[in-house]
Amino acid sequence: MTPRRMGVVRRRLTGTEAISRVKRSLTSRRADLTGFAHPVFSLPAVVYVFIGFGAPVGILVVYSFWPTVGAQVLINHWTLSNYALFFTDSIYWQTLLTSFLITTIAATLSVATSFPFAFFVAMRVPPRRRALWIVAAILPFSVSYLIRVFAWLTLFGQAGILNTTLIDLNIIRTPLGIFNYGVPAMIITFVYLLFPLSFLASYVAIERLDPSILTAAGDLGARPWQNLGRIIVPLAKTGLFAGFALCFISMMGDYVTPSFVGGSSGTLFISFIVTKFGFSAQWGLGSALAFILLAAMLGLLFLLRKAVGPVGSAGEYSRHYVPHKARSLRAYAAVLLAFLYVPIFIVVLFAFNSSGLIGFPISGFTLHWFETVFNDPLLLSALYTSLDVVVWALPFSLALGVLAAVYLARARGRWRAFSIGTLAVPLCLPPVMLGLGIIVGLYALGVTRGFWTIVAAHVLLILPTATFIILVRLEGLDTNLEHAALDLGARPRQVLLRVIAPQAVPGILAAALIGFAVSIDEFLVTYLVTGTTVTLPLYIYSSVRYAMSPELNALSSIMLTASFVLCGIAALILWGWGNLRWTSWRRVLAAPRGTITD
Amino acid sequence: MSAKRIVPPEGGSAEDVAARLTVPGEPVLRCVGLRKTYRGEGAFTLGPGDDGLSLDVGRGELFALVGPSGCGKTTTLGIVGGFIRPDAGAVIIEGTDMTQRPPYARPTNTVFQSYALFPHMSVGANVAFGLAMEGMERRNRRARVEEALELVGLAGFGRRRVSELSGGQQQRAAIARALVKEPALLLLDEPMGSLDAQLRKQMQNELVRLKTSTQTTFVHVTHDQEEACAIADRMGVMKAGRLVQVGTPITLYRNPATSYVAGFLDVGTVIRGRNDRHGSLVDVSTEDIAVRAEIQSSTPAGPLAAVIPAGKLRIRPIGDAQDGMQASGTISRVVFTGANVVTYVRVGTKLELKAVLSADQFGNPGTALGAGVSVALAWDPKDVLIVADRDDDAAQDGSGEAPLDWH
Repeated sequence: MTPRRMGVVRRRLTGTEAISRVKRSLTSRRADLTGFAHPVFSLPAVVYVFIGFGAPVGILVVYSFWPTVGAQVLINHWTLSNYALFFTDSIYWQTLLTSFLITTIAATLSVATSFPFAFFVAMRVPPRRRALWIVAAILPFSVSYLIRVFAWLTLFGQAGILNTTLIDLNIIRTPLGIFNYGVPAMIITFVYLLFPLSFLASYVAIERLDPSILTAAGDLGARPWQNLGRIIVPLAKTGLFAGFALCFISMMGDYVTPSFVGGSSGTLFISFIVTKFGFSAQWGLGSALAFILLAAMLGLLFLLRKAVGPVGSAGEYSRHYVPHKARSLRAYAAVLLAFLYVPIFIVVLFAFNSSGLIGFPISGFTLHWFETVFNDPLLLSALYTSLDVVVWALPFSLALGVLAAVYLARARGRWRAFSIGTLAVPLCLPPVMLGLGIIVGLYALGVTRGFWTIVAAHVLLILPTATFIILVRLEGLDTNLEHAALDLGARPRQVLLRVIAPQAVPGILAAALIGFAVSIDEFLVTYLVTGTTVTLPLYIYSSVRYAMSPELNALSSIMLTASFVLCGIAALILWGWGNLRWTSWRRVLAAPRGTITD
Repeated sequence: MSAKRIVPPEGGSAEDVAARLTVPGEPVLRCVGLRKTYRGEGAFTLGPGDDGLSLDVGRGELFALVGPSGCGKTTTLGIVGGFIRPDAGAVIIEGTDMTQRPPYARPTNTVFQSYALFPHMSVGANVAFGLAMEGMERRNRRARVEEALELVGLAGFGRRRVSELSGGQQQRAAIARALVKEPALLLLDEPMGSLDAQLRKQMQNELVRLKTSTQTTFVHVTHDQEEACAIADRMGVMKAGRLVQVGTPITLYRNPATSYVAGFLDVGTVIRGRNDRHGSLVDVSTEDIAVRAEIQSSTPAGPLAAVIPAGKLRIRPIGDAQDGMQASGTISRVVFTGANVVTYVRVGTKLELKAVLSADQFGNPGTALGAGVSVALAWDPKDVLIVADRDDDAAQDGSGEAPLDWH
């Protein structure tokens, strides 16, 4: 017996500490009886992400140290000139600072506006109705990202709906600058676009709070605002920080919004990077700028993390609910929901307007724009391409993801940590890095860009998300269920098929739906890695650039309907899973009363 | 992987082992020399002594393994069920060595603490699962499932979803699922843990009824010594990875082997102190009290502790006839438990003696017993139990690893 161990033995444990140790030790002590904890299961996914993401980013690093002469990368000449240029040419570092300022304001606003809403849903809505509120708040975001930006595009601008309506109502004479394309428009659009991220992050943190804590604080004399400042925010601060960080990263990597509603003043740093890989073809400089952006972002988030302080344990999840009126919160929540739905409503409204211009007044009802959508060969071919990409990318991602999740859910140790780390990297970095890395990587390998490069990139984007969604589901399962199955005579293969798989179905389904949504909506990476192939988002992007036409409103309305239908099906399947099972139907159809079926 | 060390059942490696193997006829379960060591945080060894952990369970017995959290009782059950591979020793079920067999190849079935009912199947499908795994045909399963559900009082519940059952019903379903396979050995891992007191009593009776009607051998793990005493034919008290004492509840209660067992079973007041032997008598004394008792031939060597059974301690207000008074003290606490009154008497500075009186005895008019009253204490020296003065921590004998102090 070593002295160190003696020390451990002698130290007294608190009750909860002892219990958590016992729980932990019992799970980790169970031997792997099924053989599914074999690292080979996660190998395909890890290798795919490691090579597919690591290699391109590695090449990007190398290129960032090579100078560009003309439009060609000079090989094998190491230099820091690309990085030096960032500091010497003031336009770069000034734009970076401006970008940070704008995104910080937008992320803060996003968290601030969604926090009361999240608090309302998590604390003041009865548990049974919470899902309804969450779905209502998230549903507008099932619409394509580009179309959501497009909605704001029609609202803002000199001749945008906001300005023209105000002029028509004789409230203003000349268009208001604040409603023109520019920084304010961009911030408003960002706050709108990022609502689900900040809302869900806050919601998850607040939902864990036990409402009786607030009652206790009130009992001890805390006023509601003291409750907020001293109890809720400190306990939910990790959620707030997570929301801020997610918004911040998404905005810094967003190329579409600034280029649409940013106007001339709203150029963000990302645009420089993308153009360096576009027509100006200065890959070395572009790579260096990308890494400077990444370093600056991570540095800022790291400092912020330090400032926020250590992760406070937000408490065990409790389903307690203290009924509460909360009239003003309810009113706020209603107004916010309206804010979320108005742009969507505008989009649909003008799909049926007979005028070719998007703006008030409504001139008449027509289905003409829907006709043009279905008669547009370019659009249909883009749609077909998008579906084709999904058909290849999704099953591949799901297969690798399920295998990896089966392993990750039951394994312990270094390879598990390494697998999770590798799979998490693509989620933490802006997608633009992935896109740029892939272009450079493909160029270095001499691979032509096209359909298959898009599929490969989409697998990289879907795989980590899919794996983690399925993992969450599998980890939630009681290991004793597997033990019970083995105990009742099931072989490992039967355990997988009859116990694990049926219960993992909701997770796989959710992963498939989200993967589908990601793939069908993905713009930036596709834009970068495509050759001449046009997917639906690329088509929408180019038509919006070209001219805003009600045809896009019609297309958006169709996609909106499709998203709603898909969400509805998903909800039905997930919530009514038990009732949709084949055995249930068989029973309903065939069983006379009083019989027991299996 | 450490080398397996299987002690042959006949091997008289320790008399201690032989003493435990007191089951008439061929035992259904025979565990010999089990050892399992967990390293790292919360290091723990099951069977820390040289001989490991050995145990026999006879046919049709309800055997309870009882002990505090972390004493290794669930680990033992896991080894028997095949969920945990022991580092050493053997599990022999109905004469066959099962140590290396996976759970699905053992004639054991387990009722898990969390019940572990498959949430995606109906109650009937849960019960039928084990039969389906045997390859039994669907129509044959049906009758067996119905029978098993009826046995546990869930007739007609087969089509319900698991989530539609109450906690008690889920437990019944879990028992039916395990029993339907007609296992040689039914293992129950703290199955009453999440039931309320009322339901727990009811399920305890139910379990005894099931054992009798199905003639199945049960191994029941619990931390509740009252539950173990109430239902077990025999019980084994565990501490820190070792089986301290095995016997019928009444034997254990009347003859606890160590001060730990006496304390754990709450036999009475355990007095640990200096030993002074006078021939066949021993005085166990602390600064507060001295207790004299007779040394029996079965009394172990080494330090001894005295136990005054709570039911054998008499108390009277001071001032009455003082004959036979052995000590005096002050009543510190009186607890009514319905039929009985538990009275705690403080003697000296540290000692508190426990006495269980019938309500009649206590409520005698004229006896003004209550907190704060000075009382005389008396007991018959023949009633005092002499036990080995041991905590039964593995650390004491120096061999094996020290377990965590869970308290």
